[in-house]
Amino acid sequence: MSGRRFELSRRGLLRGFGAAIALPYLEIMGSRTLAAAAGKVDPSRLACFYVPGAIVPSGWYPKETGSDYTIAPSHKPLEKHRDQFTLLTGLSHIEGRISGHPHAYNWLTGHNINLTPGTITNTVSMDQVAAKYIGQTYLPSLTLSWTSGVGKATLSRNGLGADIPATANYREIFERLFPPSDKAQVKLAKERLALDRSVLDTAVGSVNDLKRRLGYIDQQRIEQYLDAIRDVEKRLTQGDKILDQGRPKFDEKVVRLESRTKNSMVDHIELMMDMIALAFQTDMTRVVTQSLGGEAGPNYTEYQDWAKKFGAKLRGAHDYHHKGGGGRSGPDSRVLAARDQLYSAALARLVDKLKAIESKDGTLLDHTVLMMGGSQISSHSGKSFPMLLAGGKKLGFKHGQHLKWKGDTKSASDLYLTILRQMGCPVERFKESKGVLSEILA
Amino acid sequence: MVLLMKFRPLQDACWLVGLVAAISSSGSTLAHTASDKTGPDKTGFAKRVQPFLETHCFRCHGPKKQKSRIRLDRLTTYRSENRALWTKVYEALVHGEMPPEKEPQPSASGRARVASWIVARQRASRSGRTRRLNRRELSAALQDLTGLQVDYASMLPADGKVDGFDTGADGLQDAADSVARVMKITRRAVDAIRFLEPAGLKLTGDLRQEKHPKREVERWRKEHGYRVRLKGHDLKQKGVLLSPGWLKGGSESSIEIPTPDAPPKGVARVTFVVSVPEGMKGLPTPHLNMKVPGQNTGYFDVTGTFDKPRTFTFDVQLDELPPDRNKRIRIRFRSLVELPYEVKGFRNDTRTKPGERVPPGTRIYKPLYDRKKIKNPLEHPVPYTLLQQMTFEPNHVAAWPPESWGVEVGKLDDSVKSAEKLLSIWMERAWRRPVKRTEVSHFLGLYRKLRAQQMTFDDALRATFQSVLMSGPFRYHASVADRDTGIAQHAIASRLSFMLIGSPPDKTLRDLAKASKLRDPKTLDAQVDRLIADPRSRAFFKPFVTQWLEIGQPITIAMRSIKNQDFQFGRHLRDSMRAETVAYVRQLFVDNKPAKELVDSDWAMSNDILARFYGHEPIEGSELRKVRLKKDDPRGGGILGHGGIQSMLTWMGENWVIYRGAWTMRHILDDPPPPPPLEVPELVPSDGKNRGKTARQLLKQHQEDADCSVCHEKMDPIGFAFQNFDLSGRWREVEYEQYVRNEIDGKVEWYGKGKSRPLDTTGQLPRGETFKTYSQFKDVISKHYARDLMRGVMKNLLLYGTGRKPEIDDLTQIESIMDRAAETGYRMRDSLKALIRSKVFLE
Repeated sequence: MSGRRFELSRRGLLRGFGAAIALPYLEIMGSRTLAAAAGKVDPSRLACFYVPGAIVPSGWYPKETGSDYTIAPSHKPLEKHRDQFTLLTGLSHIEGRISGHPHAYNWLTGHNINLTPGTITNTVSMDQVAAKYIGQTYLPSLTLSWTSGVGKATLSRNGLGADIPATANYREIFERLFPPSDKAQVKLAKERLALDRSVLDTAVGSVNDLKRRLGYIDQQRIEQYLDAIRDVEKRLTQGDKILDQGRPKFDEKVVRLESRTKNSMVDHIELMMDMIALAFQTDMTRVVTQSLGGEAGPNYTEYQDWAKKFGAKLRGAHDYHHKGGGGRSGPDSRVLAARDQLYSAALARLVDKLKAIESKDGTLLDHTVLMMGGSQISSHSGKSFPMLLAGGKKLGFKHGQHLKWKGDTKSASDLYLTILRQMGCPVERFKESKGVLSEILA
Repeated sequence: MVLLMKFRPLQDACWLVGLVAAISSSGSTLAHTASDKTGPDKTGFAKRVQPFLETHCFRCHGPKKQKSRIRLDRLTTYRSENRALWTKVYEALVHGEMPPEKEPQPSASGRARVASWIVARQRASRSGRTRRLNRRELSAALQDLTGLQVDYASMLPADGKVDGFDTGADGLQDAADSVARVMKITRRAVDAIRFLEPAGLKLTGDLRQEKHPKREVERWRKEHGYRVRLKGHDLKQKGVLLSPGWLKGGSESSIEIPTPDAPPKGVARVTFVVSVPEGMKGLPTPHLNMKVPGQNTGYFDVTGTFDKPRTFTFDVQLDELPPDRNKRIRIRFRSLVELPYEVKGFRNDTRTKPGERVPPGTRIYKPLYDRKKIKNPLEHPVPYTLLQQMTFEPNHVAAWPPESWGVEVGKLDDSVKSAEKLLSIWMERAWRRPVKRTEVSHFLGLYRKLRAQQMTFDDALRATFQSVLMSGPFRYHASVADRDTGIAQHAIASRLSFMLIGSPPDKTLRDLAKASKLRDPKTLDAQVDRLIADPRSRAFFKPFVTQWLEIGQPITIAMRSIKNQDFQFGRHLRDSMRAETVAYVRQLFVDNKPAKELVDSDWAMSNDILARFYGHEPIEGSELRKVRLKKDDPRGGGILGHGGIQSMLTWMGENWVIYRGAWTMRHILDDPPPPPPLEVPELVPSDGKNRGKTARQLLKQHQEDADCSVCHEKMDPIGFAFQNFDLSGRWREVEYEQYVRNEIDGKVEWYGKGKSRPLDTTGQLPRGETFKTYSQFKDVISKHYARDLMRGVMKNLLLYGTGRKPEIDDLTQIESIMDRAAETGYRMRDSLKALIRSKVFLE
């Protein structure tokens, strides 16, 4: 364990601490949630998965609508969970419509990112609204991706619209999720927090001095920095409380932190999703976003296998979206359809996992909203999003249907508002929302 | 059907930043909600401006239509966050571009009324004068302060961009996560310096031994737990010949570092003393290539002789690196050659047979020889690197202040006095200006507090130093208009320095600021001359040129056939192609060339691999240098002929004409086309009915759409000038009916199929000049567009140097500088100096 200890004392402790939870951690949770083990009702959880690039519409959209529809090929792996998910067709950002590859910027924000010439601006993403109200955990939220970074690598934007960096590093995620396990480490970590607080306290004084020297616009810039420092200080306080409670006990040996293969899409996604299931079960975080891939890669090995299988040319992931997406057909589309199906299979697997974890009243799945979707049908269109919603029955969702709206009429913000409200966030609206989608509520 | 401007993953962010978009009154981010200090002038807007906009603009830029994605009906007054849009409106009105000719025209006084309102409002709400350091500057500042060469930037999240530039004030935001990250990085920086503490372990291996040179470093494993593997041949009394990439038995030498139980405070420092072995003639220059997990640290030309070796030092931040399965971190290094080469008397070794799967890694066309027959490694046709000495410090914590600063600190001891002395030095350097006693004592308070908590001298001072790094004056650029003229002088020094050498001001600049000389035109000119000529100015040209011309985009190195691997250059070629453009632009400034040489000259910047790629006379070494071109070179000098530029402007082997044309208008001719409408279907030449048609036919068909033709009529004809450049930027004389493109493991196969036809390279420039060939095109540009070239460069320099997009007054200043520079053909460095002397830079 020397490696982890060495990492932990350095990494992450500043990163994100929610307010402390009141429950003491239990010896063994087994296949129950932390709340269930304490005999309490589970809080709600949210995970959003972004499908990059284009999808293959003919494989994605069922022909019929309503509850009596035939499962579409891309969703075959989800067939056994038919009563656990809903397909929503035709939602989009109406005012916030953009085109091209930057869709990951605003999939969850609905903001027209091109408002200010020359700069990408953004507003808060819906997962962060959820985190604000329900994320009083060790980590307010977790931002995962296919590569570490900001911009298109992440789906989450904070209250100011600034990017929240995503990570693709399994070990780092694990270490951010759980407080240190041994006492000496906890003591060190606490000292570190105290020192960080002193360092910031002293620094803030000089920031204020600087602020007084400047004009209004510059003061606003500095104010943003001060706000950020205050947030960091808040996290220090919360982190301190959580450190006192220590690490939940679970079988750490089964947690996989290394991919079996070097460049496999399915392995990467499954590993991340396993981590999500563990994080939800132990209630270390309640809100997760994960970008399932980039617009131009990674060129996972699966693409090569599919190309061989379907007789397509070997291309990069980006080129498959272009040559295979939208209304096209042919070998390139079959490659892309195979990718769509892989995403469904990964989601089906996560549904299985969450279903197997008991809550006080049902399963963890019943308290978890899973959303998978993207912004593009063809390579650049932002007209009608492919969206899929699963789980959350105890939060009032009903499933088993294919709902369809006319393009450009129904905003994805309505869906986001519905999710937020059902999760218990006291919000009246989100971005361009007009009201909740009663069609998906029981 | 309309035609699509292509979007590519790595550049669409840059693409987007070029957009002029609709304005909404709601939902902007905090950075953009700042209203004017004097308060918004709503009455003036309602009386004078809005009626005008409603009559003349809303029909195309209102609720129904948003041509060029500009929407004006939601403006309620002048707001600072919309200043770029207002500048645009002003320009369009004043230059008579809008409303379009066929629309009813407003009266001259009507135009003037609105224009003067915009100018007045813009002057009343000056854009901000400060911004935080971006991650590049932060990294340079930390390196400057600590004296360590750690790449701190790679550990920080990327910055937002304005028009592609990482210096744009509006893009540089702050959020809790990024500040937490900065906190962590500044902690690392101060952890790696020491004051009273003794130096850590330093292992020194002298490999110039009679017997078993390798053992000199192999014994570190037993003695200290660091396993060093040197792959190559022992050379008695001289050292070890490090093997290049392809030799049997593995070729990578390495140092294995077990992850320690306690986090190391310092960095791992490795020093290599190397030279080129004497013996074999005609070999290419080897590079010393070093890698840490997940990163290529770089390539370094190995030169020098046994008696005059070269020394390379690397600092590595270990705890940023992922350990392997055995909880070890491996630093790997080797001698590397990525240049195909031949040696007289040896056959060539093609290795891979046709039909075999492409092996991973770089394969180079090189001589074949038999190791069993040639026993003496010095007779191998192999570019070895001779490693003579090596040192390794697993936890290097640098003595501070660095010796190179030459500051006299006297005898240090565990006293407040010593702490105060060191703290003042640190603050002055960190804040890039002299500090007051009260300022020092504020931070000294933290030191005292921590000492009272039983912290050691070194630890308490480190934490105090870190607090200085989290403070405003370190993290933010001071304002050049600060009411304290001393601070303003130092702000100018910083602005100059961060712009022209990419790091905090050096002693010369600090002294000039102290003497209040930095508003004196002559002094400023001399400083620009000095800094541009300094090799450190590469830290200006690299980010500037890369962001201005968007040359971070992928370059395709295509082969005729993957199976035969008949085009074998390594990674180094791509790097060199990008470096070529940067070095060329730098040379324009160093030599103070006229603007037209940006596109037309008789010289180039070249190195071993570029000379080979372009088919020039062979030269040695990877260092770029100026070479004269042959008269009959069809490509000639100038950035538009750079293989890297033309290659990055291709996409899937198709659609190049539009993209190259649009790029040229945006970056070279200072005439950026507006963004394409949303959701346009793509033009894919290989799609069924398009097959077999020439680019000209396809474009004509697409220009029939009225909405698109306005811009495409301008962009497309320019793109034809570059038809001589193929997917990889190589020169070609014919094109084929169809092209085949395949990709595997990042290797691209691309070749023409079917009938060939001569290229169509005729076209037209925006003001109507026509050309038939690439060289005629360049002539037209140098004759008629020099001012446009220079204006574009100036606008970009302004944004890069000051962090703001040019505003109305800035544009006026630029035009007057241009008027003065016209006579001498807009010389590059002279124009830069004029910009720096002007209000634009100093106020």
